[in-house]
Amino acid sequence: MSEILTVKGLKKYFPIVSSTFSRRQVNYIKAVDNVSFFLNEGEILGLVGESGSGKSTTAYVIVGIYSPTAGDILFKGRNINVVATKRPLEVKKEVAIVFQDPGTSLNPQHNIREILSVPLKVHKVVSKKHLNSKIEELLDIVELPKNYMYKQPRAIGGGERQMVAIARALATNPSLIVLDEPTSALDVSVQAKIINKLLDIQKEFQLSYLFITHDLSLMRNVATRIAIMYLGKINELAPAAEFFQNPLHPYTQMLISSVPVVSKAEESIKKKKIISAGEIPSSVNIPPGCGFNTRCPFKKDLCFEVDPEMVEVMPGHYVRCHLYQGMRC
Amino acid sequence: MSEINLLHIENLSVSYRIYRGLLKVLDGVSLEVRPGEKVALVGETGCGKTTTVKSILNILPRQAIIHRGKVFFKGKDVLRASDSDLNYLRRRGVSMIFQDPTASLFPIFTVGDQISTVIRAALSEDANNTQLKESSLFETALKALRAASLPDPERILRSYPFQLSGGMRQRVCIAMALATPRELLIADEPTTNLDVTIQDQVLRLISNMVAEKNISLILITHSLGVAREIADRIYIMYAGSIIEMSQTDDLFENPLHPYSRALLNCVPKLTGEGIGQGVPGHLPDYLNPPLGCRFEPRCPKSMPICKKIKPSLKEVAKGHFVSCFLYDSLGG
Ligand SMILES: Nc1ncnc2c1ncn2[C@@H]1O[C@H](COP(=O)(O)OP(=O)(O)OP(=O)(O)O)[C@@H](O)[C@H]1O
Ligand SMILES: Nc1ncnc2c1ncn2[C@@H]1O[C@H](COP(=O)(O)OP(=O)(O)OP(=O)(O)O)[C@@H](O)[C@H]1O
Ligand SMILES: [Mg+2]
Ligand SMILES: [Mg+2]
Repeated sequence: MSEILTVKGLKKYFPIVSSTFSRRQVNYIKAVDNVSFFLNEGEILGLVGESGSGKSTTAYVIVGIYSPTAGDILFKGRNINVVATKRPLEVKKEVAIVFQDPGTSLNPQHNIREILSVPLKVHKVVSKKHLNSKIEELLDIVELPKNYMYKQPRAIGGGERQMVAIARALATNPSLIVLDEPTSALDVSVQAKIINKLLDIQKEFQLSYLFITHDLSLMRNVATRIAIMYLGKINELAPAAEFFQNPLHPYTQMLISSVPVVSKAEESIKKKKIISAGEIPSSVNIPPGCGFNTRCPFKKDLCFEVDPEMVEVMPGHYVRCHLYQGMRC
Repeated sequence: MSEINLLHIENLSVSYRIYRGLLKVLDGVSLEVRPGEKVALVGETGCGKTTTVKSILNILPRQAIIHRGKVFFKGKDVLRASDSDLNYLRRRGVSMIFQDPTASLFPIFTVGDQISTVIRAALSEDANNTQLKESSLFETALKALRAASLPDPERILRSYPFQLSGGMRQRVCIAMALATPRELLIADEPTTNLDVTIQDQVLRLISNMVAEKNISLILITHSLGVAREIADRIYIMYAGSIIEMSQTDDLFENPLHPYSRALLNCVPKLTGEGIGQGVPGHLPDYLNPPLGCRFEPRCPKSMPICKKIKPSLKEVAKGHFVSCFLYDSLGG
């Protein structure tokens, strides 16, 4: 298995100008702060986190919408960590994204044919002559009728809009797709259709997905491995089954025990009940030490002084918490 | 009508008048809530949950037309109530947490101003409470915020809504809704935009507060998991009709209606057994809804009769009601 994407020590800081007169930057929002992970070819890595944890920012840096503040991004072993605007076109072609909100990510002034034409033209995927047939093919993959070409995004349902966004991502024959909460705005019955379609497409075209979501139960059914993000950092990363059988980070345990479930069998997975408490601190005021120390039931003095390092405690199972610092495998 | 009901909605049909015609949304909805009971109303976007509960407070928008049906609160017909009865209903009987928490808090007033207004209005209904002191008002407001486990309530009273996080704003709404005595709390998707750990806190708070004060609850949600967490009894709604109702455990162990089954099947499970195929098709067009069962066009078990006649909600096992012809022969 080879790594299609490798992210090392990635940082994205947004400066906050504190005074309009002196224009001095005294503070940063550390939206992504020293994040490392890799994605194997053909794999689905779930990046899970609560609102504001830095998931979208990570996605935007990877696909080249933002330039990173620091760190390396390797695509198929090649360092693509250049200023976002200078990223080679052939890399841009291979790394696609589906955005969070199907309502706003599609230009409302364009019809679906025009929306799908843009990436086809920019990346010269097909000649003008074959444009229509390529668009038909894309619509066919996501099971939308051909006549949708001439509809406006507004005239179709939310689930169908997200299908169009997926078709647009597929237009350039990418090998990696970053999915930023592709179904969080949709009803579960619509979500089910989209997820099943995404899984079919992934198998058929042998794609790799970085799947961003706040929904842990969804990831249990979709991801090969799962990473948990909190205040710009990854707190735990493990293969999906292991992740739910043996969650180590107190935050992971809190998350799992907060998920509302629909069966007794699922409740047994939530057995390590950690009562959720406290507020998520704002990303401007991240406390010193471990970012989770304001909410952690196991906090000790050390947690307020030193930010723990990521440790591989079992093969493939990484956790960043002082409880496990001595357990390096 | 049963004597023990606090709230009873009977066969309610509501349409909205729009430019192109009539959106026939609610089609014969019946719903009951007993004192101290926690009921959930579950359904997907646009099925008519908010329309149903707005009728309880008689606050449907002008475009709404009530064709049929009655809403009784403590035996009084809300839709035909006098102004003074309605005032009592809204200030002492029922309080509602609205779907959009940003819309239910005014951005230009402090939390303290807004809670005081609610408390003053509620107390003015109370004949014994003629001389209302500002100091007791402040105390009541503080007590309400503390009860909603908001830290540093003095500071929060002085804060404007934008200075609070989403979870805190939602807790302020709950505090406001329960600052003065009520008999029924209606919470319309109270946790939809919150993170799961915050959702968990807010749900626990609502659950504890209604239990402590012995208030009845109607929780509206599109999440079967959230409903299961809180409710004693669950109503499942599809396209303006209640299609199934039962005790919570019963519903999850033995869902009957093809829609309930499909919906449950679509919910991703922590056990990781894969995700169901989804429900084919769309919600019907309310301008021109199907004559028979509104789920028929999407139903895998559709029969000829389903196209012609709308099935009524029937009790097919003790306390388990379903509106589907598949179970008609079993019906009582
Ligand atoms: N362009 C920007 N300028 C300044 N701050 C930003 C910018 N984009 C994001 N942030 C901040 O960075 C943090 C992480 O945001 P991000 O959108 O990556 O979170 P997220 O995990 O995707 O959250 P959500 O689940 O709400 O989508 C937040 O505090 C956000 O306010
Ligand atoms: N004021 C209105 N005018 C016209 N149509 C309306 C109005 N309010 C609601 N509707 C329509 O009535 C239907 C039911 O709406 P309602 O808000 O009751 O659904 P809901 O179940 O609460 O949905 P959601 O989960 O999205 O909140 C929808 O199709 C909606 O578009
Ligand atoms: Mg995001
Ligand atoms: Mg609603």
